[in-house]
Amino acid sequence: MSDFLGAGPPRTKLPGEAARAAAAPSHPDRQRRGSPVPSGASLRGLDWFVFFLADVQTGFGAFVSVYLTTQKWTQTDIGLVLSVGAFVGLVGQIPGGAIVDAARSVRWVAAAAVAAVGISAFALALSPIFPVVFASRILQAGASCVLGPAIAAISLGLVGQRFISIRLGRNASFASVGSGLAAAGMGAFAYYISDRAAFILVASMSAPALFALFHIQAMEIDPTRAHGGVAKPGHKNPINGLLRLFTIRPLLIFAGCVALFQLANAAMLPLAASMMTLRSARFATIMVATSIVAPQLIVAVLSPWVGRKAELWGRRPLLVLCFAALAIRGLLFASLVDPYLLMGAQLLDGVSGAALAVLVPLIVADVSGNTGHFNLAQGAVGCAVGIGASISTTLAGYVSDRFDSQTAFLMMAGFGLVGLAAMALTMPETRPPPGED
Amino acid sequence: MPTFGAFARRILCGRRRSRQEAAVLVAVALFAAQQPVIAATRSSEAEPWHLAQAAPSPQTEVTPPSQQAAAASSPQNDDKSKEEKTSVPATVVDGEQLESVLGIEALSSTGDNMGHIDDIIVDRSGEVRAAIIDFGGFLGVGSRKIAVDWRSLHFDPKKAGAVVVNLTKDQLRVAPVYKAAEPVVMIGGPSAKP
Repeated sequence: MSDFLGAGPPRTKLPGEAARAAAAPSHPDRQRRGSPVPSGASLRGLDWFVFFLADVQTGFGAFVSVYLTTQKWTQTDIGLVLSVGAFVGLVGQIPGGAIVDAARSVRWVAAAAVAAVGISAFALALSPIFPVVFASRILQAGASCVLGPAIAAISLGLVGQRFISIRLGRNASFASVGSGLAAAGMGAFAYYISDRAAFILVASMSAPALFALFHIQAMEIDPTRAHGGVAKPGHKNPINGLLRLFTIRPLLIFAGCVALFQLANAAMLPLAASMMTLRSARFATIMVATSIVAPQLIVAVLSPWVGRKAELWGRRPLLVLCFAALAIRGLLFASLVDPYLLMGAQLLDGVSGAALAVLVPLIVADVSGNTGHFNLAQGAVGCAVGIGASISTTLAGYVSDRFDSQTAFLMMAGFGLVGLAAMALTMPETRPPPGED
Repeated sequence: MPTFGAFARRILCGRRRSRQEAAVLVAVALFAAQQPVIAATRSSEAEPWHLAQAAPSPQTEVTPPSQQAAAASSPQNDDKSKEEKTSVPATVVDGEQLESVLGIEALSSTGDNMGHIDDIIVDRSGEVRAAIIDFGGFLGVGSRKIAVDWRSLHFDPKKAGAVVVNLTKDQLRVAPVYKAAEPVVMIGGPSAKP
């Protein structure tokens, strides 16, 4: 670990930054604001923080229900704790963002949230009894509401608006490698040892996540940048902040677009995986595993590219790419029968995933700049994502029961196309003009 | 790898039985006593289930002949005087002979892991009809809940924590998904052949 984090020659520039530095020899942005230049240790700390955190968070996916089943939980109880967790994860988004905005030290807030996630993961692994699991789900869901904005805030606080797209590409890359490896590792542990061992594996990743977090130098995180500027005196209050954010039209349009994206996207993988289980005898499990892990690797490769192109081309072309890949995936799922081809179509998830992982925090940073409510805005968009995702699974489940899976996939592809049209017609380009910050 | 797996599983999982589980065990015990078909299959396959202690109760009167023999041959209970003080009839069975079925692994006849038992469904008369198996998938993604006829399930006394389903993966995967309150398709049954 220390090889990755502390040792080695100090690096002050990101790969993309070097090219920019050559183009603009001095950093006028930083000199003007007097913000500290992030050190190599901080930037690598952020890399690995994002990586290990994604490891831990992967454990709280659909696997929780399998694990609780093996611990002799009834389906009713499992449904209850999962719904409560999902509910907290939804309504906690906006308060979570407000907490990060109000925090004097984003790093300490993030540290507390990581500790909470780690504790809830260990509690789930070691003592799967109802009150513990119930509390663990609430704690983890609440902490996640803080962690999403906190990562973006730390990134923005470290590198500033000017380099944020590159940094977000790098974050998405590390996060997806982390969650892909965690899924593979959990699968292996669950198969060879036990489901509980799989949980202990990912829970223990919260320790290196905390370790990496404290490699980020607190003084290098500019609090003004991390909060997206300074709120006007009357707008400090989160309620007033929200009202202010609701007047930013591009933010509302964008929140609507990502809600539509999730409405189309969230149920696609589970339904496609269920089709693989139905249609392939011997390799179904391997195929489902590949469908989960392979798109993560594509995200890892593509997202730095997305980060660079977001600066060169602007945000809109990449949003078009994201929605187009989603709609094509839906249409392919609806028309393909062969499980291997289904698995191939699922790779498109990596394209949409890479684009969205970079663009969501990036566009929110674009449009909420100078409001002092960057994280509140992220919470609001996160809430829209959550609403879209929860309707998606319910609706797709209903349609595939009532009609068939083809109809459900066509419906989701339709939502993707509606999202594409809505985005193309109404969403403005949000890239700040060059030279401005 | 399997031996290492089994060893580690023993260490990591252990066997912790809560009060609720104990209640389930008792329920299974009562159920088994009233299920002549299954009790007969089991006793024909392996050594008969020993009733370590059997208090005089209506339960023992309705047990099938194979179990009656076991009950009759079991040693006189040592705590007879204590048990007579309580008026509620009870049956005591050695914990090793019973097993909670919720969450245990379902194996195919060739020994492949097919999933976990999620639920047990009974009909209006209380008779167990099917086990719901959460079949396939990876880390909970892509699994299908399948109702398997109870008579297709075989409990191997040597394999604790697992049940052998008398069906193949291919037969399970194409079965319709189980949904509560809808017509249930229970696959398998006494005549099913893998």
